[in-house]
Amino acid sequence: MIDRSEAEEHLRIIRSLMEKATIYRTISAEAALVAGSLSVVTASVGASIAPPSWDLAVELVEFATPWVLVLLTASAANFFLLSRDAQRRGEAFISQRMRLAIRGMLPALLAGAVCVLVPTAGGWAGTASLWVLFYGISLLAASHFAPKSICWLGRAFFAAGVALLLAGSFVFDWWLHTNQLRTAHLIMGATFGLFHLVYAACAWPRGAKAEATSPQP
Amino acid sequence: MFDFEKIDKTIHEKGRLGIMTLLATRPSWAFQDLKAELKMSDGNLVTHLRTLHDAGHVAVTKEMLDRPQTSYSLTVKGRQAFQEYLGVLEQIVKAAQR
Repeated sequence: MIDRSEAEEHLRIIRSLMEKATIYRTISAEAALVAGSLSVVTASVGASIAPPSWDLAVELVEFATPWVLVLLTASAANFFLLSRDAQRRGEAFISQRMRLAIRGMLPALLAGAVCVLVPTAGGWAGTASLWVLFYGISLLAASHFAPKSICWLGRAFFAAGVALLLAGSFVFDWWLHTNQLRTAHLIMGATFGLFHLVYAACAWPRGAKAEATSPQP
Repeated sequence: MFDFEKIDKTIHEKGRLGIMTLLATRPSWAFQDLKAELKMSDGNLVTHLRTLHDAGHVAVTKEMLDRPQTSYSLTVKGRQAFQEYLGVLEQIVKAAQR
């Protein structure tokens, strides 16, 4: 005879495992490594060659173009790695969990994209800060079914975005008198570069080597 | 009145219950993914999977991707047994609340 507490305990096990199985990692560790490395390199090169220009049209090409290329490359790598994982698990690439994640993330990502078209009062440094903030919001929007590492990444971007915008407001004059292009590149490198590298190190699948060598049944 | 003794003892064991639950969430699971999710040893997992396979609850697929991979999925009988098992647990909880 099974008593109530045993039945409840088994229902708890079922619920907890089902919740774990619906967790969706929107950014693979390998893709974060690609994104982080590309961002650090792009920021370093961009900041070192940035001319002290105030011509917005020139700056749009010099600032936005390399970062859009980084975004496209990192996104392509992420989609490739997610599709490989989905194939390994025998799931459709565009699963219900992926649809939910995209639906949650899309509004904030679109808001970030619009910032490229509308110059902010803080110049490109302000735009970079907004990108950091909106990216953080987009990750947090998918946090209900994301692993803890993604939630922490979202919190880090959100906090950095808020801090950068506050700092930009308080030292606005200072920002306007610095090399906008260089500051913007450095903001991107410090956040999209370093944060993704830290995330990749934390989320890197441990025991991958052991899995590859352990016997199959 | 439901006869609680009719509960499926094959599924009721905690290790096998975990396997059945995970298999109910996706079309199929690779052995290594099940092992990682349930934190079981190879031997333990193989034994439980064999028991479930012998009971007709689990189907096994072996394929060659970049390396040999064994995947497991619920059979129609297994999915039905799992749903019935859930129903029994719910009835037990409800009965105790009355």
